[in-house]
Formats: sequence, structure tokens, C-alpha cells
Amino acid sequence: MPDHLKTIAEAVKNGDEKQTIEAVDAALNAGMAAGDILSQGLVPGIQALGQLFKDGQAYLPEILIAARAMRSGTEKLKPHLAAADVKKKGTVVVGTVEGDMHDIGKNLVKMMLESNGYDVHDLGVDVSADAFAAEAKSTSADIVATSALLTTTMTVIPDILKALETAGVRSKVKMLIGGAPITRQFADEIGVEGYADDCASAVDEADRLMKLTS
Amino acid sequence: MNTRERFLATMNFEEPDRHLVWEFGYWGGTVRRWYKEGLPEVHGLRADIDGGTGLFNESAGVPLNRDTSLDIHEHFKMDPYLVRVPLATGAWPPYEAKVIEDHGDWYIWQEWDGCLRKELKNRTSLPTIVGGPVKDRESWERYKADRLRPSLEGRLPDNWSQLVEEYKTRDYPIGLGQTHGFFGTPRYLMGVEELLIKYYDDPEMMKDINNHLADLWITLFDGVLKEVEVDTVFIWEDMCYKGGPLISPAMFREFILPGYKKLTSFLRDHGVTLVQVDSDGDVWKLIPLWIEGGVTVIYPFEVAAGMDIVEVRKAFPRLAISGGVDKRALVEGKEAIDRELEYRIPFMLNQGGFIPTIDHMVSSDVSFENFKYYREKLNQMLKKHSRSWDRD
Repeated sequence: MPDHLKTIAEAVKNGDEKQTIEAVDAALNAGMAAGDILSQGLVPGIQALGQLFKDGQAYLPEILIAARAMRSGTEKLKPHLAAADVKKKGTVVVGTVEGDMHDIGKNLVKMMLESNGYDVHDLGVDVSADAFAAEAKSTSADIVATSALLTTTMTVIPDILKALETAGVRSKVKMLIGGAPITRQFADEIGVEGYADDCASAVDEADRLMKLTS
Repeated sequence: MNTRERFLATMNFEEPDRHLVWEFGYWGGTVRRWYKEGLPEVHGLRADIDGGTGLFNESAGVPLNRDTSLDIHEHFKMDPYLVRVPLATGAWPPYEAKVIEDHGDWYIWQEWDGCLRKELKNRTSLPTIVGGPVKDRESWERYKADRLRPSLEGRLPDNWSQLVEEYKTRDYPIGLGQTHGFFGTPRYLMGVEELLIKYYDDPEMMKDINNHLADLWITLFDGVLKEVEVDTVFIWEDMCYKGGPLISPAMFREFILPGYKKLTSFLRDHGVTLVQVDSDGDVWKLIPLWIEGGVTVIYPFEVAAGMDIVEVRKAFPRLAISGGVDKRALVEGKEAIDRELEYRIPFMLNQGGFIPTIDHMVSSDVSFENFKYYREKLNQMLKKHSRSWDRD
């Protein structure tokens, strides 16, 4: 990896927003292609941090500042990026289930999915099953990702599956779920394809689900 | 032994005459459901208590009355509850509680501490914190000067001298501390995401906040301890989720631990050795740091987040434990309750330093039949493992 890209990746991994912007600037000035800076500098940086998180070497503050550095670096690149440079991995609709206002986990998942190349449509909190289905249909989403905090709210997840079915998109859309009371076993029992323990694993799981959709 | 002596003996790993019969708490909707399913409605609940209101019970230290779960307390013949000294340890004077944004079925409202909470109007879910009065150095300095003055003035109730007299002849334990902590309080000051970023963006301010909180609580507690013999101090953090702590152990050591050491050193010097921390989630990585910081009791050990009090006890033999019974077993049914109790309770009771309760408030998907089965079976186990039992 060229020095500029190494510096960018390292700056993102360390959550150093200022250094990320400066390094992106330096790379552009050196004539590097914006698409390469994104795919070979910024993205590897956030992926490296995601791996540290999964290994228990990084925590949520580090995720938040790395995602902020990634966002600022991407903003800097935007005027130089051609549409062809930004290859989206897939489209994800995110939101917390109906009756659930707790959105920290959902926000972190959104942040990590966006940083890792997904087009994310955030419906916010307390989202009805029908709203998930309508958004999935209108955006031709590949994945609907939702979280629930309580045992009493996780029970509405099967309603989202039904709503996707009714909207005629269930066969095209995979579901990814997480949250405090959710387990892989619960996901299997209700027929949901994807489950993630945390925001970094959600990216891996989304990548896995995308292979199932293609 | 009376309840106070029993509590102190239990938490200090001495042998009580019998084990305490306490529970953690319930949601309002749970109690209303149980009234329909057979719980005798003698006192009832106040009409405005909704499904999302947390009704804490004996171990939490709030007075039991129609605002709480008095009917459950009496039906299951539980022991007298722990009493918290009504000392305001947060923002004083309090902020006016008011709605900031109304979004139909949910709103953002400002609480007494200035914290902004996003919440469903029907309160069937937990609120989420979206911000608070501290944004930067300037607002912190203002908040500190206006709301966190190290003075008892106004922070104790008007009948304080009467309470002091009552406490002198009490047979129940009393505790100090409200919903405050060296992570918990800063979260209310600025919201979770902002707080997590501030450790990087303004580390000096974060250290100043916790240093000030430690000094504030020492000053306030000192005033109370001059008049009352306190049995335990509560610290509330809720700083873990099922993936572990929200911040790294290294960050805890740098920003949080100094406040604990300062506060617990003062408490020990004043005869208070039982310091309890409340945190949901997977707390494994923080337990050694809390112990280093002078904490002697942790609760409620959320099983769904991977906490197993049997394993915790093996790893930390002198850490007292409250809670630890998987609430999900009560949803599942009697076989799950049997498995849950038989695995954890005999081992823990034989070890001492343990008050068994559900690992958080009992949710409304638990039937009264299942709760009754759980509580009666648990009470039988408590009886079997006690030297004496005078509850029949």
C-alpha cells in the first residue's frame, strides 16, 4: 500500500479526523484517484478498526471517532469522486422495531454499514412493520436491519417478515436483527437470515447476506 | 436478627440466621397483568402508573406504597425493604420537567437533571437519552456552578431531623446514593454518544467532571454521615451492554477509577464498607476495576448479556452479589425456572454474600403463575439453606 494510503488508513483507524483530512488532501495533491483513496485508504482503515472491535481491542468511543474521521475524509473526496468510483455493496433499510425507542445500537450499525460501503436508509425509531416493508420496496433494498431492546418488543419482528411478504418483496430482502435480548437461536426460530452481536459483526453479516441475495 | 443485621451479615459474608427475601422490581404493566391473573389487589397501584413505569422493590431502597409493588411484597411475605436516604445527589435546584419536542406518539422531554429523553408517550419502552445540558467547557462550568454546588442546602427533606431520629432505632438497612455514577451521571449531562466522543475530544473536561462529582458526593455524604449511621452506598452506572463495557478498561482506569477511589476511601474512613454498583450488560471486564475502586457489591448480573453469577463468584470469591436470576426463565415456564434456580441458588447460598433476585425488573410477558412458581420455589430454597426460618 502506498504511503499516502497507509497514512489515511492509519488515521481512520485511530479516529484522527484532522490527520485523515490532511492525508486525503495530500493524496489528492499527489494525483491519486479519488476512488482509490476511498477503497484503498479510508475503507481499509475503518475495516481495521472493526476488526480491533471484534477482537475486543477497541470499544464504542473508538468506533465513533473512527466513523467521524471516515465521514470527514469521504466528504473531502466527494467533489472528486465519479459515480463509478462509489461502488455500493448493497442497500439496507435500518430502524428500531415498533415500540422501541432505544437507538444507540441501530445508529452504530448504520455508521459501520455506511463506512463499509452500504447505502443505508434510516427510518429511525419505533418503526412499524408496514413502514419497513414500504421502504424496502421503494428502495429495492437488499437487507432490512432492525434492533429491539426488550423481550416485549422483540416479539414484533415476525410482523416485519409478514409485512415484507405482503408487500411482495420477502424473496428479495434478507433480514438482519440484533439487540439486547436477541440471539442467533431466536433469529433461526422465526426464520430471519441474519443476526449480529454488535455493530462490527453486523457488517460481516450484511456481507454474508449479500452473497445469499446475488 | 432483624433485617438490617441480616443484610449486613449477608453482604459481609457472615452467616445470617436466614436469607433475605427480597426482589428487584417489576414494570407497572406486569403488576396490572398479575392483578388480572390472581394477585390480590389489596392496595392497588396509583391510577397514573403506566406500563413503562419501573416499580422497584425491597433491594432498591424506595419506600413501598401504592406507587410501587406493595401487594406483591405482602403476598409473598417479603422482608422489610432497604431505605435510601432522601438526599438529592444530582442537579440542584432541579430543572423544570417539560416537553421539548412533541412527535405524536413520542416526545423529547427534559427531566429534573436537564437530561433530554426521547420516549414513547405510552411508556411501553425504555427512554433513550438524546442530550443534556453540558455541551462544552462553558456549559459544564455553568452547570457546575449553578446545579452542582457542594452544599447540602435544599438537598435534604424538610423533615430531615425527624428522619434522623427514626433511623436511630431502625431495624432495616439504609443506603445513600441515587441514580448517579462516574459514567452514569456524565451520560445524563450530555447523552451517550456525545459522552463517548468527549473522552477523546476533551479529556481534561471529563476528568474535571468526575473529580467534581467525587468532591460533591463526599461533601454531601459527609453531612449525612455526621448524623446517620449508613449501611451501604449505591452507585448507578449501567455502562455495559451484551457486548461488554461501553468504554475500554483502559479508559475506565483513566477517567472513572480515580473518582471511585476518592469516594470509597472517604466512605471507608467513615465506616461505610458496602459500596454497591448497578450495571446491566456484560460487566466481566469491569469487575476487577470496580473491586480495585473499592466496590464490594455488584448487581443485577444480567444473564441475557452472558453474566453467570456462579462463574463470577468463582472468579471473584469476595465480591458480594445481588440479582443473577435469568428473567427470561420466567417467560419460558416452570421447567426453565427449575433449571435456573437449581443451577444457581444452592451454590450461591452456600457461598454467602448473596441476595437472590431476578436480574432486572420482571417484564409484562411473565405470567403471575410463573412468577408465583419462581418465588415460592426460591423461598423454599432460602428456607432450606437457612439456620432458622420464622416466616411460616
